Amino acid sequence: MRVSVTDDPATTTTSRTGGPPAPADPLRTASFAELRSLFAMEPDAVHLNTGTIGVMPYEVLDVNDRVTREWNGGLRNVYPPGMYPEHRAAIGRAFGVDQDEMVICHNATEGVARVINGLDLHEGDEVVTTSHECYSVLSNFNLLRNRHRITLTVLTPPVGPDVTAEEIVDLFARAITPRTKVLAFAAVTLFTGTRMPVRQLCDLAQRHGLTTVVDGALLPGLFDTDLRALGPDFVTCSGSKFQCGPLGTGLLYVRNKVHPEHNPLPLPTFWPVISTWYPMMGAPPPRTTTRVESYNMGDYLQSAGSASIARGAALAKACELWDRIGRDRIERHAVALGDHTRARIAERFGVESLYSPLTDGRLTAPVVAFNPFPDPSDGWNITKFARLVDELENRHRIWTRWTEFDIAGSPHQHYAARICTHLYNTADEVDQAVDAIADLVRELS
Amino acid sequence: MTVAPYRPEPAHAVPPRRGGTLRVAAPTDAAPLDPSCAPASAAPFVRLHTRQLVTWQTARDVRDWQAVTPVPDLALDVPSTWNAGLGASHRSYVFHMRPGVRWDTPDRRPVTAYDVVRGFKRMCNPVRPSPSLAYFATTVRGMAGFATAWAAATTRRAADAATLAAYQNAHEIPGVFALDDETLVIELARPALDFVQMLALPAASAVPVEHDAFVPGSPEATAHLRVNGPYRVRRHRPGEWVELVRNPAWEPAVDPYRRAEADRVELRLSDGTGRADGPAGPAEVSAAPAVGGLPAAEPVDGGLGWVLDPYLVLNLRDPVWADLRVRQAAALAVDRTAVADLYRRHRPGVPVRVAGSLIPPGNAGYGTADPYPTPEGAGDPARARDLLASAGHADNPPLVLIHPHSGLGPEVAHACAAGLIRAGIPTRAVGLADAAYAEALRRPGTTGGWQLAVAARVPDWLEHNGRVFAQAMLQATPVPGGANHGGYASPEVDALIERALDAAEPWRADAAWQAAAERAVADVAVVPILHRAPVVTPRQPDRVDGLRPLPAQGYAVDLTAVRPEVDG
Repeated sequence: MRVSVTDDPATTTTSRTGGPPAPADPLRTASFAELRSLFAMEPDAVHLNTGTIGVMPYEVLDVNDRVTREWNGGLRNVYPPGMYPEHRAAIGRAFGVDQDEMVICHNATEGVARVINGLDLHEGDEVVTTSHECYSVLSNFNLLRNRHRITLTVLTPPVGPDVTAEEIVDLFARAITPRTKVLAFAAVTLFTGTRMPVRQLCDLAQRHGLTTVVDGALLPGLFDTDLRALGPDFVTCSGSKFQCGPLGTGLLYVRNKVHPEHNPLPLPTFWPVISTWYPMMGAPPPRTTTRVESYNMGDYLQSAGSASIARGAALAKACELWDRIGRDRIERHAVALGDHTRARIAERFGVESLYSPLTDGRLTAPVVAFNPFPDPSDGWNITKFARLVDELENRHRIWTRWTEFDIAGSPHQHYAARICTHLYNTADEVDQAVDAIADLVRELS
Repeated sequence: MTVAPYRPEPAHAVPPRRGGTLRVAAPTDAAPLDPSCAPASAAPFVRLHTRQLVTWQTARDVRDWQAVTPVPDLALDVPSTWNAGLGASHRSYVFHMRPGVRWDTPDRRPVTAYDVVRGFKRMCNPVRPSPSLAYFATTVRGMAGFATAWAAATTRRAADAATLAAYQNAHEIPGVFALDDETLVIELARPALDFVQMLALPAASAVPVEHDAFVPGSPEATAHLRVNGPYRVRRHRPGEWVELVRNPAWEPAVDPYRRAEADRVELRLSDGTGRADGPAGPAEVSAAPAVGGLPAAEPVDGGLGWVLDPYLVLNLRDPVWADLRVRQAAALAVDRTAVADLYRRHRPGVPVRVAGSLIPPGNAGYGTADPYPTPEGAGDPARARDLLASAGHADNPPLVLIHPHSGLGPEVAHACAAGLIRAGIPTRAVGLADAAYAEALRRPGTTGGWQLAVAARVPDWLEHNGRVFAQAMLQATPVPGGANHGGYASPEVDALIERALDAAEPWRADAAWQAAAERAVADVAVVPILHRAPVVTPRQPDRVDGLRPLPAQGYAVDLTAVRPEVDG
């Protein structure tokens, strides 16, 4: 059943980022069972793989379709709307930043490639990152390694239920040398679902005068996030995962002013590669040292030829829906389901089956990676995990995925089953998935 | 000098006839058909009957870079991060076996991941270890330990086939294991830029359980080879000839990169004295001799894969070389220009350059530094004599300079000996049949005394290939194999080699390879003489067609694709 959601204000609420009280919105008080009907989900399918791709709401699909048709034929100037000034401002507000710091891009990979290749790095400069980053992060840094002869230090972060934020921060701290220029890490790792201690790592970076590049692919739509308050220089995000926008959308945050309470460091030199409006002669003014931008870096990055106006509008619609539902509510729901998932997995397969953090609540996310097989050596048996995920789909119509990653001190490539929970999931679905996995594990063991 | 590009074979308007007998002249030592102990130079012969996880495709145009990139053979794909066969650390490779590939056993059993595991173990056998073992032992997790433990165990036991098989089957290489028949995992001790290239070597062939009944490299093993390639051994006379016929279990549909044009392939093995052309007529295809390359061949202008041909090996186990000044005198004594002249006479049109460095152009780690330059490259006997005098080197018996009978081995040896004698180093050139020469290099301690050897080194692959020179020729490894014929051992060079092997960046690896090579040449571990352009066999359309080179296998001809003349 499709529920019609109107913008008719009935009650009032306040936004996380302040401002005048907003009119009440039925979405703000709708139950999650009701909210589920907003989404174009396949009936009888259990979608527990939002970390790969989310489900678009019907309204987002409609906007995408409508705007595509509106701009078909080229009878109007397509360039101004492709700068998305209003959408960027609205989305920026949802994430605690300004329009000049927010870019709608094509996906997290494009965003991270533009950031990494825009860094002012030279031969001998060091970047510290982890082997648990998305391959788009590692491949782009390797490109810099080949192109500029930078040094790439790749750490393997600790995994498992007892990992603490301090362990992770200490690992990075020990890797920093006088030549280190950049720390790069995920906000939530896609392989083990570790919510990295972003604020602490940014504090560490700031103490050493380092630039921070955060892969926030799994951040928007999941965590109610004030990007500025986290303190990074760059955050690249997917629009099509937890934010449930169309495929081929992403967000890019570029720090473009100095708010000392969040990040007192001067703005890093940055080259906005892929830009139409970067000056064709001369250079932009010096980067600001205050809370007021010296120029709109977001515009430089946003101007990249003709844009997919419809996809940008659809992503903006998804963000608007999230704001109306309440990003804080969504986070609480997804996180609670993630906690439920961890508990069920620990109960069924043992706490030691978890690759995701458990005891340090600062590191937990509703992205749960685990090895359900009783034989530890199955942890590096790709065929068993591939079969498990395939059979979950084929027999039970439950969508998950398997991931692969290094574990410090182990010679093997390890594999995990991964369950992601979101606002459209239920505890029953998680229970159903865990039961089905247990049955399949018995069969495959 | 301008080099004409290799002429691509013209496309046929009508399908050529298949069948006939292909006769191939090959040095006896170049064609050991047991892949477990075959050197890289035997790859074109091993290709006839045995497949690896990856292989090479032939090149219509030798400048085609696709021909130097491995393609999937027994594997369905070359592992990558894209196909989930390779993780971020590049230390774990997952191979999925191609379905439908079968052994020529009575039951036509499928080739499985376990057969590849067996192949990896068998290359470590202590009786006839693979010449490529050092590459793998320094790369694959636990392989060095497996090889050394097996060698240690064998010194205490008999080395018959049953004993070898028992050890092999009771022990595992930690980093090489099958998950099931279709899935193989290979874990590396460290990432390797060239690991996939290594997997195309004969040593990395799948091996069936039937081979456990034979000692690796033995005539019995060759006579009873079980195969998965287009041909199988029908008859075999050790050291003289091998007759291969079509393998009925081979399915072209599951072998994208081999053909089987001829009905029969005769390998006529030569000891270097020209015996290969038998009564049935001359061979249509010849394999390159160890030194000098093929005569009447066409040079390749692709810029890749130049050859160190020739160089002098100093047998450093002999105390005559203990003093660096004596080695330096030898380096200064050689008249490289004279050798270059004889190459130009005997190999007209093939570019050669006087070499001061170990790694030739077109290979990773190439450098131009020459620590012992001489006027016009013609040697400096006066300086050599001074060095000998300062070292107190006098009145020694003549040094023995061994060389192969085949190719330009004798000419090079006599030119080098002349230079050495001129500088006050009495030298006697001793020619050996190819097999004896290869054995002398492989086991210098048991094959009689020699102090010098004429040799050449063709790269085993062409991309990221610094190790095929610097590691193979210079590293003091705990495992046998490689081409460190002189027994060179230098902690400093070994450290540079380790640095190169550890490098994740090609440019950093190349710098370390170059440094290692320069250090070793300064030590006079070897004496580089010439860098020679690679060559390909010219087409002979009147007698044979389909001569397609395999650039990554020394530009050798793909014997499976050759179409001999068919009557009627």
